Order: sequence, then C-alpha cells, then structure tokens
Amino acid sequence: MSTSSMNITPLDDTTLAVALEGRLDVLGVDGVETRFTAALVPSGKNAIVDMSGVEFVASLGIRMFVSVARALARDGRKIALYGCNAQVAEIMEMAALDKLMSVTADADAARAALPA
Amino acid sequence: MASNARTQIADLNPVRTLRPVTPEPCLILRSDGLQERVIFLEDAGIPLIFGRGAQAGVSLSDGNVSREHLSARREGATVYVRDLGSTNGTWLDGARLTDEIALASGQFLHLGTHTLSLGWRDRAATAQAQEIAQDLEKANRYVLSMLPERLSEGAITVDWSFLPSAKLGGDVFGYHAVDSRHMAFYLIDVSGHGAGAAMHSTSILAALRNQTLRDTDFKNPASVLQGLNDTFDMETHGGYCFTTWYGVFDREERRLAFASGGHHPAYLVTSLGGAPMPLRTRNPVMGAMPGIPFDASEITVPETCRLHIFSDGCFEITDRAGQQWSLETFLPLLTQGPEGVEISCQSVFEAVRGAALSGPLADDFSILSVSFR
Repeated sequence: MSTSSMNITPLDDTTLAVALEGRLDVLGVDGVETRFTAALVPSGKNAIVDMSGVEFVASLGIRMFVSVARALARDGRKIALYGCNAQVAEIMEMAALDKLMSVTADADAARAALPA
Repeated sequence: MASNARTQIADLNPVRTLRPVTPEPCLILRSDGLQERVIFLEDAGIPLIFGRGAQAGVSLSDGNVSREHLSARREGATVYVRDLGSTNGTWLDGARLTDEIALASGQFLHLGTHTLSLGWRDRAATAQAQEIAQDLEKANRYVLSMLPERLSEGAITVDWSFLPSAKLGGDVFGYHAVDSRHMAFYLIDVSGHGAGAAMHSTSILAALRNQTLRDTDFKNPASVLQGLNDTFDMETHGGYCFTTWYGVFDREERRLAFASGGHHPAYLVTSLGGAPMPLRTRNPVMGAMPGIPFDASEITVPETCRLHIFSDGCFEITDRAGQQWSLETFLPLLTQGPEGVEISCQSVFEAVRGAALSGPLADDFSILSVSFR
C-alpha cells in the first residue's frame, strides 16, 4: 500500500501546482513517481511543489525530484519545492538540493523562483 | 521512412504465446536461515524420502533428523506423508505422527529444525523464480567479495558492518593506498535497491579502487567527486544518482582531506571525548548535474581518534515506539560503550537492529570505521 498521495492543479498557463502528502520512502515514491513524472515532464510548464504534507523523504524521493528537474531543464523549465517541515528540510540540506533546484519557504517564493 | 536500429531489433523478437499457469500440489520446505525450497512430487510416483542420509531424496543437514526420516507421496491432488520411525519424530500440531496422513493446506510438519507445508505452485514459474533467486544470490556474493578486508593491526585499523535491506543493495564502501603516503576511504550510496543499484554501486567502487577516472587526482577529494559526477551522469546510467563521502589521509602530515556529495557528515570521535566532530562539504547528490565544481575541506587528525563513515540506512529507521530516527538519534551510538573500549561496527549494527521494528531495515546499513593511532 502506498504511503503517499499527490494532487495536481494548473496554477496558470505556465505553471502547475503539485501537492504531495505522506512519506516519500520506497513505497511512497513507488505510489507517485510515474504520475508525478508523467504530469510534469510533457506538460510544457513549470511546477511548484507543496511539500508541507510530506513527512519524510528518502533517497528515492530525492532522485525523483532530481530526475524531473533535469528533464524540465532541457527546455528551460523549472521546478520549485516549498513548505518543507524541519525534518524534510534537513534531508534537503544534506542533499544540497538547493544547488539543483529552488527550495523555498512558501508558495510565493517558489513562484518567484520560476522563469518568467 | 528509414527504420532505426531500435525498430529493427524489436522486429526480430518473436511474438510470445502465453502459457497457461498450472498449479500442482507440492511441499514447501523451510529451514533456518535458508530460502524456502519448493519440492514437486510425481503423481503416483515413488515416495520421496526426507532424511539426513546420503540416500535420501531430500537431504537435510541436521543432527535431529534421522537418516531416513519421512516419506512423501502424491496421489492426484493429495500429498501423503509418513514418519519412517525416526528417532525424534515428525510433529504436527504438537502431536507425533504415527500413521500416514494426507497433508492439508495450512498444516505445518516439524522435523528437526525444518518445517514442511503443502503448497500449490506452477512448476515452470517456480523453476524460473528459483533461477532468478540463484542469480541474485550470486550477485550478492559478488558485491560482498568487493568489500574490503578489515584491518586489525597497525597505525591505521579498519572495521565495518554491512547489511543490504533487500537481497541486493546500493551501498558499497572501501579504502585503498593512493600511494605510499596517502590512503583513501570512501562510501557510496546509490538511491534504490536491487540489481540495478548494486551494479551501479560496484561500477563506482571499481572506478575508485582502481583509480580509473579520467583527469582525476585521487589525492584531491574535490577532483575525485568531480570525476565521479561527470563519469556517472544519471542520464546515461539508468537514472541512478548517488551520494558519496571520500577522504584522503596523508600519513606524513597527518592531514585528512575530504569531500562529500549529497551525503551527511562522517564523524570524528577523539579519545578526549566530547561530541563527535562532523566532517562534510556542501555538494549536491552525485550524477545529477555534470560539469559542476565540488568543494573539499581538510583537518589535522588528532592522535588516537576514530573516523566513522556511514550510510543513511544506519539512522533512517522507525523504532519500536513508532518514532522516526534522525542522525541525532544515531550519533550517541558512536561514543557509547565501556570506557577505553573501542565501539565495534557490529555493536553499532546490533544497537540499530535492536531498536528498529522487526523485519528488514528500511535501507541498507553500512558503516566503515577507521582508527588512527
């Protein structure tokens, strides 16, 4: 049984808003990765990801974000994560994920980090 | 339209016919510490003998099992079992078998340290699964063979403990003499488990140990991480990224240069006590973005200290109280133990294993500890 869930809505013509919940461990990533990737990569849009509902991120979760960020970057698009809790923020810090994508405190800062 | 190479290869593959699955009654043998074994019986065939002796059809290496202990035969959909007058008996639900019985689903026979139960499996699918299991076991032994020797004597000693969370994991670690003066220590953690992650981690380990990265100074951790990052780009390596910690000890200067990529700190514990000293440089996960520079740092190594390099599987556990551990929860384990007695990596593993929920750990457990004297 998956330990995660995902909700995607269009924010505007250029950006998708994604909300992730639960644990991004082996089961959790398995439960959302295909949909996450399929929704974002071919969309032609940037994405902001609400992480406030995510309790934990394992290395497979980091890999999922890195993989999508890399795919979006091929045509100049970006992904920005925001709202990490303290434990998830520490995991992101250890991975120095902010060197590969925007990791911000809130949705406004995430949108501001996207290309115009 | 010209067909490309991929299309040509696909056209050569024959259409596969689906084979119907045909379950048959069989016996499932479970023995301590070993994978379960599926034993098929021929319908109306000669009874199969289970026992310790060389003549037994199924040989059980167990002093509590008689040379010819039990026989099993099949008539259609029914499997009959009979104790052959064994010394220690065959037991079912606490009662010793005296007559032949038809074994029912859900019943467990006990003979020595082994159990037998009735199963229904497809013969061809079972053979394929067993072949895959054997291949995984060979791959597991290959990974274990690449792990380093423990060093118990000398100015530098090395201890380690390793347990993959699945049959094959993505963690590897090692050390080697870069030259007569410098010694390198490292740990690699590939995201994920299974054959793909194991193949990737062993490729990286071989590149480090054999120093085969191009244009790389193996005495310079920043150069090594850059070489690893550029060589093992995730887009050309199955989508796998990894974290790493790499350090080089200069025996003459007694300096440790180090760099980490996406990895939590290694920790230095000195004989003077105090909190473990974190050693980390802030670089991203490896293989994610080729061409980026990496930062390194260095320290002077105190007399009589210990460097612990470990994977996040050591602390990313849920304990029996349902609490998610963190790095801070794990760190005290590196300094606990009788005064003056060095903590062994095995004792660290046992402490984590004892605290975690039962069942496999969530991630691979790897710890490499280096003592400098």
